[in-house]
Amino acid sequence: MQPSDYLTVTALTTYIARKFSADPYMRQVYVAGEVSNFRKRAGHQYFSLKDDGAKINVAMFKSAFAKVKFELEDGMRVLAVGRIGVYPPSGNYQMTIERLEPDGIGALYAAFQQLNTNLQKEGLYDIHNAWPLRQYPRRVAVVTSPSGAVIQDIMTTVKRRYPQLEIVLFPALVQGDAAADDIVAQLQNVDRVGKFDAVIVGRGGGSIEDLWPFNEERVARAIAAMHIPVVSSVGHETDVTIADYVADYRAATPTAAAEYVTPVTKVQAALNLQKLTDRLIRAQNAILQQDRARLDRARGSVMLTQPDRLYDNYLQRVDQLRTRLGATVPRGLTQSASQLEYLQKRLAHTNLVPRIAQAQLHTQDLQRRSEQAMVKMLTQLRQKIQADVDGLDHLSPLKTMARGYAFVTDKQGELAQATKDFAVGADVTIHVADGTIGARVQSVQEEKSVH
Amino acid sequence: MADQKPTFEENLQQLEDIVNQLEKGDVPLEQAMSQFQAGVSLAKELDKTLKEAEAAVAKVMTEDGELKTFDPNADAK
Repeated sequence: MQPSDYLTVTALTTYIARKFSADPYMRQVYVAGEVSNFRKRAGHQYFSLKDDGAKINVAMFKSAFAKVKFELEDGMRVLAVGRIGVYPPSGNYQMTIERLEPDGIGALYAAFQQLNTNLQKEGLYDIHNAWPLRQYPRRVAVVTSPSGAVIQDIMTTVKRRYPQLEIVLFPALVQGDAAADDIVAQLQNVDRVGKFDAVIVGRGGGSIEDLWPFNEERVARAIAAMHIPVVSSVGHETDVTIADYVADYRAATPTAAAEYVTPVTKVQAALNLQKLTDRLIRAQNAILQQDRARLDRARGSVMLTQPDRLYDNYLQRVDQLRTRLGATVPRGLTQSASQLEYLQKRLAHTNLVPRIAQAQLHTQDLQRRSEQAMVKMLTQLRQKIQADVDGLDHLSPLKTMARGYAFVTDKQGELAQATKDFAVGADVTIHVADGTIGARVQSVQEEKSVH
Repeated sequence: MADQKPTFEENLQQLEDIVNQLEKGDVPLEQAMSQFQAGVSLAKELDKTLKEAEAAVAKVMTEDGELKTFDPNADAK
């Protein structure tokens, strides 16, 4: 071997470095270990990861370290992701860490994120479903530890703001493995006992593990299932748990939670009541004044003060009607009169008058003529009657009697013509031409041969 | 607690309703009078409730389901 065949340190180190960088497993390794020799520096960080059997140097550049969300401490168990390389100046291999998470908590965090996403999708965070808080609650339940500061703070605040509010504590473990079940059981108790206006659920501050029960799904679901407003107060203001998301109201502190369930303080309530009473009286006065004003208006009205006026109008109307009536009747008469005149004129204009005169003449003529005819006819009749009378005169019984004949009548004036009409001794009257003679029948003798 | 009796809140709501109606002003006088009377007695009762309200004593629900007075200093655990 010639000296020239020997490698330089640099060449060897470069070769070794290439071995690391070429290996795909070395480019990204996942390592769980305990932080050692950590002392926070201003820029890049240098420390070690170790376990019971080995130790590896670690470098973490400033940009990667800035993304670490937790406070890194010596002795902390961590999960690291990075690559393995060689640092030629010291000849050491080291791990350059790109991502760092606390061991154990990381899994919790993943679970938290997962549950958070699911519940949000389910709508359990929907603030529109929040139960409204009562303005004047009577009884509020608190699910928390009986020994913590939470219940103390709540009691103090309620006493100050609204002392008549009854607080009922439902003691529950708020950390450890049994806590979640305990909290769920007590929430269900609150629902079962009933007649609560709200429930506060919470605990004081602590590590993420301490708060963990409030990130459990069954606690979240128990809160969501409540039929009264749930106010959550878990940990400090910066800690946010699933319970806070699911609760109807999230209070940063127990005091704030107590304020939530007492929206109106006793003093405010008294003030509100006073205002309401004032409004009541004002409103009533307004109505009274309004009605009084109406009454006064009505009372002052003409109708009541001068009742005559009630029928003034009627009187006036009667007058008017009377006047109109007076005008109407003569007008009717005048009208009739003028119509009569008109008709008379029309009558005059007809040729009825000459026609009447003519008819009168004609009638006179006819009368005269009929009179003449009558006289003539009467004369003729008289002459005829004279002739007849003369004829009759020859036949007259008077003429016969003048010749000596007589006729006899009985007492009744009946003509006695035959023997049977005479009874012996009967008084009869004998009629002769110049008078009558009373006689008595002396005898009656019938002669059969006369006819 | 007497559940049959209307709560403070219910009484207050009723008083508010009365005031609102009276403030509208279109209530017949007789009705307004009786409502006003109801309102005044409600207000009196509410005032009395507020003034006489005693500080409620905090209670604790025991494991046996009993309500007991809660003294936070009793069991410092």
